[in-house]
Amino acid sequence: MSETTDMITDAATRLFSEQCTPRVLAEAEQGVFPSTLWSGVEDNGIASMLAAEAHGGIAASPGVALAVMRVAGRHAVPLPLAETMVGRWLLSKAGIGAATGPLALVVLRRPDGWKVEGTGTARVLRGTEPAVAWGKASGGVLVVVRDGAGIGVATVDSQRLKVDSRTNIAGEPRDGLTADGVSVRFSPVSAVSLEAVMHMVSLCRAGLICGALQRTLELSVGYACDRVQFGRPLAKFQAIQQQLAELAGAVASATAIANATANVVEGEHGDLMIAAMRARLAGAIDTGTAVSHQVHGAMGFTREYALHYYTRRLWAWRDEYDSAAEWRERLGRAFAGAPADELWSRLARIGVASGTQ
Amino acid sequence: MDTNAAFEFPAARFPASIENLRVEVRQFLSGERRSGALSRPDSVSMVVSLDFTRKLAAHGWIGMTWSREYGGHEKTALERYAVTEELLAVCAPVRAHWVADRQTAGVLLRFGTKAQKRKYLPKIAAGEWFFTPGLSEPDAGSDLASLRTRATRVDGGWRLSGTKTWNSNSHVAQFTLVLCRTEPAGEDRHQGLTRLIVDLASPGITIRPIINLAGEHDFNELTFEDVFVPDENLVGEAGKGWNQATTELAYERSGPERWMSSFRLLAELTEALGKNASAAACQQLGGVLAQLLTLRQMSMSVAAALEAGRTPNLEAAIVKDLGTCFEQELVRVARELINSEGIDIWDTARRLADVLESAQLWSICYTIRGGSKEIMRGVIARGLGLR
Repeated sequence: MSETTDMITDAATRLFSEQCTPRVLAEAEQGVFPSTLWSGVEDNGIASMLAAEAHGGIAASPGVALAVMRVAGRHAVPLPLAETMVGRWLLSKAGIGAATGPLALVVLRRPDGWKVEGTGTARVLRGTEPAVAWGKASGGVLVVVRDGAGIGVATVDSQRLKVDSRTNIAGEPRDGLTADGVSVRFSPVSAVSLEAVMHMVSLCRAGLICGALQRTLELSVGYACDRVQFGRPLAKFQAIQQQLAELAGAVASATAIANATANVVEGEHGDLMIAAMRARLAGAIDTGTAVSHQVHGAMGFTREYALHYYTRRLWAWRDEYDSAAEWRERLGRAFAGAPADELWSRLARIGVASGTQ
Repeated sequence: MDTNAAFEFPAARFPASIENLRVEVRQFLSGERRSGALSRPDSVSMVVSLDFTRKLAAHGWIGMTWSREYGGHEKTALERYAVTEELLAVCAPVRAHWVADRQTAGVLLRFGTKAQKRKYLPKIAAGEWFFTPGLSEPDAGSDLASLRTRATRVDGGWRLSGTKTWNSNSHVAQFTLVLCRTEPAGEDRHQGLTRLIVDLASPGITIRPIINLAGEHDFNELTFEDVFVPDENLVGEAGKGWNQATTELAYERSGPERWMSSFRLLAELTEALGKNASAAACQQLGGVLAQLLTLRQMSMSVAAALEAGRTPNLEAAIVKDLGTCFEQELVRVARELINSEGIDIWDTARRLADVLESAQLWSICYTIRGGSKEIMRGVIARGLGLR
């Protein structure tokens, strides 16, 4: 297992450090899809890694996915990686062969979004989703919908949708997509809940977040060591050291909860660990972005210096796939009213993975 | 900057058998509650109960990880960790043996002579002998290496003079493990410091109680006036005591007490909020719980590192910094929720009011004791290569 992790993370590190150049990142924000980078993602087996071997994947564990996504986050990869990985995982669970190309992912759980009408395999998609990650650029939009006791998926070509091109604070595509009665082919997915999809995509995004946080720390430490004021590097000032230590603590806390959650995400209390992880990630992002910008001074407040590729993504990702507040509320609701003498035993069973290292 | 492995906190895996141990501890604790030996806590203060300490010892829950040769029980660091969590969750009265079990014994096991291990460890594990720290001084707090307590060589031992302060439990303990200067401070102030075990019954020792902010007697000031300490009480090498002190502090800093000291406040608050708590209250509660669950994972990761034979100084500093800041935030959140949700804390039991009051008072010291927040961040900054 650890060999697989090393192989695929090494491949990802090579690919992303070579190809996620400042130019590629800047062009992506201008709407240029990085197709060479995407080919590398496909060639290295990253996009399909969660899918079963029969569907072109390696059935990677959540922990391996997290490790690879951390590498991607550290390089600000401008692609719908989490969406495609989780989308192909779902398609594989549905017994459908791997799609090609990047996927957008729409998990229907709001009353005012898309509706999938009808029954059976031929269904009709109607309504508007306001902010679909990489909706237009992806080509394929995978819709996940509750269906009776289970869920189902349908893929729709984005060319059949009305597109309102938008971007988030990080300049990543978040398109408004309108379907006027588009017919889609519906496939049921067994043994996966709508919540499980949200959990898996949250975990992949957590990898991106941890990687980006790590990069803000590296950039901040590097800058503090290089930048000289009052005759010495910023790093030698206690006030700066104390802030960087706080930043390092925030990054460590994010990494720790993500590592732990990856081990238990598919277990009995995976929902509560995901909620805790999402809540903590948002807190770590608040601290991490504030401190890294403060340490960088005016330089961080430019588009010339790379810090913004990470901090703007972090600000965007805090509240995507449900907001941090919603995740906090779920976690709090699960324990509100717990008798004082039961709280510990109920908390202690969450997030404990047994077995040998 | 290379990624420093110390910032990684790999997920710990605990053997399934540890769940059985937790159940055993919980059954013991609820039995104590039923018999009236323990009551539902109305404070976050960790108090002394010699009776409770001896019962824990009888269950083998003191000295858990040491070899049987020294009265220990040869359990893993993960098992010890689980028992520690269970005791803290009920704010068990473990004060008497806590310092000896957590930190002094660790130093003796690593640096002590065989005779010292044979003499002290079985008595500590039996819940009979206790230690008070012996590190801080009136003029040496965060700057511990500037300490002035000194010992000079005499026939058969040492003569010790000076003052140690903020010593928990000196009025209950029989011994202290002093850090003192035995050679003048040279270029490297960390050289020339020595650890000595001092019997508190020795002539020349004065113990003065210091009542803390919470109105409780936990601290003491110890004054040594020409106290004779026999040679056999030297721990490790004379002049090389600094490394022992930092090892000891790693044990002191790394445990779940760094984020569980105010757990009773969270427990009482959660109950008082009730199932119909507002969405806003649940969001605040969830934020606190998320921090607690994260700190727990970090702490378990540290326990796994200890079990693997490492001394995770840097990880411990990170957990202590985050954990103690969290505990102070918990008090703020609790107060806000009590007010915003209109919870009546002046009900007949007054338990929540009492726990909140105690947590407000005690939480002030969490970011100071065992190494201040600023010192922790200095340790972390060193780990980042900044100093």
